Amino acid sequence: MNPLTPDQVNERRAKVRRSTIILSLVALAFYVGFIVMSVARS
Amino acid sequence: MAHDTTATHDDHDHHGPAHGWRRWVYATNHKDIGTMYLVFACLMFFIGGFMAMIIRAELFQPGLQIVNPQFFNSMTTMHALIMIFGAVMPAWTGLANWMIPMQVGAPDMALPRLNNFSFWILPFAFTLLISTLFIPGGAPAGGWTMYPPLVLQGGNSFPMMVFAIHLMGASSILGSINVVVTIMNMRAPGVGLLNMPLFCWSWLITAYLLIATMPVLAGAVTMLLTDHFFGTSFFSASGGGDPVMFQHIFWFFGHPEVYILILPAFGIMSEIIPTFSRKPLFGYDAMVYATAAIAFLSFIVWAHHMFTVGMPLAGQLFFTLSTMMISIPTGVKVFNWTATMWKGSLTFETPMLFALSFLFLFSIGGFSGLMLAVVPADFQYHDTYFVVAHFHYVLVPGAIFAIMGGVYYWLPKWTGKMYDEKLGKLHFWLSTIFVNVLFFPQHFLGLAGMPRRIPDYAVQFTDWNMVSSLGAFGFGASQLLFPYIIWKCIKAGQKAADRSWEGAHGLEWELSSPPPYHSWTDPPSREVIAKGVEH
Repeated sequence: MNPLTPDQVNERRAKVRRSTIILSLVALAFYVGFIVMSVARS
Repeated sequence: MAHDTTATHDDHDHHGPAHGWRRWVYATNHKDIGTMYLVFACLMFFIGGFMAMIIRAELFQPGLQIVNPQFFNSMTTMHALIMIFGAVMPAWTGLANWMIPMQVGAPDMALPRLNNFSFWILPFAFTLLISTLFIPGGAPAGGWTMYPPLVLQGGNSFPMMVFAIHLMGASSILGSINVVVTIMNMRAPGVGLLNMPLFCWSWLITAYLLIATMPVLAGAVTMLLTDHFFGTSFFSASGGGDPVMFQHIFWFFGHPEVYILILPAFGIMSEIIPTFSRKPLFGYDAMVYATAAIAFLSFIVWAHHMFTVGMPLAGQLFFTLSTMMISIPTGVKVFNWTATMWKGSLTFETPMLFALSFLFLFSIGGFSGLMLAVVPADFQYHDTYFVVAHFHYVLVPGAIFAIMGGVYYWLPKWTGKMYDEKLGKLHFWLSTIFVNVLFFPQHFLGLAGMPRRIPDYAVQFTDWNMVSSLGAFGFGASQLLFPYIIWKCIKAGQKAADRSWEGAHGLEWELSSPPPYHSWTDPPSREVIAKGVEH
């Protein structure tokens, strides 16, 4: 076993939070982007 | 090793599962949520399968025997939606939940509460969808592709279907975010991207596909909704819109969706075949790059689903060639699995049998896909049973067999008990024989010109339809063995070893069987990782 230090745990938490937000924004961008593209085309 | 991996620590992981319904409703443990996904997928598989039985019973002979055409169309639509979004995708998410944390040395998924939410959306989504069978006007009947203007004439079921699809999409997106975040951030020190199991790799790429494409489907059905209820004209020619644009948007989602359904199967093959060949996987790096190449190409081939709509010659050429290019990385995979088996000490337990069947039968689906990529040929095959045969070869002996192979492969790890090998092999042989009796004749029917999505047909198609229906009934009945075998394994299976298969590698096999409720609460040591990934 190789326990993580509190600093490592905190750093991992921050990375998890950051990547979750980025991926959610990517998904949102695809959703809105395709609707906007359709509006522009029609 | 047992000392390292069993739940005997006196720190924060000493507690076990909650009791009763709270364990499942409030679940945040990846194993519990994985189990719920798999049970849900199994239930949906049988509901969707029952609808397939109705379809094949109606098609047993020409004329209208059992159901009216409207209900028949509802069955084809609901069967597809339930099998794709209710059975195959949740089954993959269930396997991901169970295996990814154990395989990368993480204590759980990165976002356990989101994980709970992702799962519990699904029962509501499918209750909503299935309840349309009982409302005036009946269930959606315009096909799972939901092409306007037909789908806009769907009555009361239309908004319910759209809302259900939004819920399913939200569940998939949240689940995928969880997978990506877990793999990118929760790997134990020493588990690098290029030495983690192929199942994790294939799921990582699948999750990116889902994050990029499910919102596109959600956008498309939102626009359908506003066309129907709020007077917009996205897809209405009378208002200046374009119904063909829906097809482009739908298939921009739809074709990557095919790979969402099949890429995790490739990952499972890359776990099972080396284990039962007792050899390392041939060309690990090439497999990773091939998976990524397939995912990339899946975004630029969508219009091969709509050649008959009409498009410029340059478009036809582009989509034909890009589609054919997918066979290159797919071929890399098939040849690498074959090379893995070459001169291996092969044994043929149930998971390996399913893997071999996958290899042959998925390839048949791949070859018929190549035929469909050729524009003039597609003009002949489009909307015929040839297409039905093609995608069922990809999805049934492809995705479904891989799921079943994966369940048999990891069942001893999950339960700590061995399933009945004889019954497993019986399940395999019945499934493989009947799946071919069911779907192979549909190639002949399609080439002879029988259209898909019809409840009645010309008499010259009778013989092969009868054969196909008999295959369907046999296949459907033989699937009842699957839950029975799992139930029997849990109740009365013999004790399984921690490394249940002699040739198995991977961190999950370093854990006890069954694994502790909280595994890898502390990351595995470098020695355990080295032992787990050694080939």
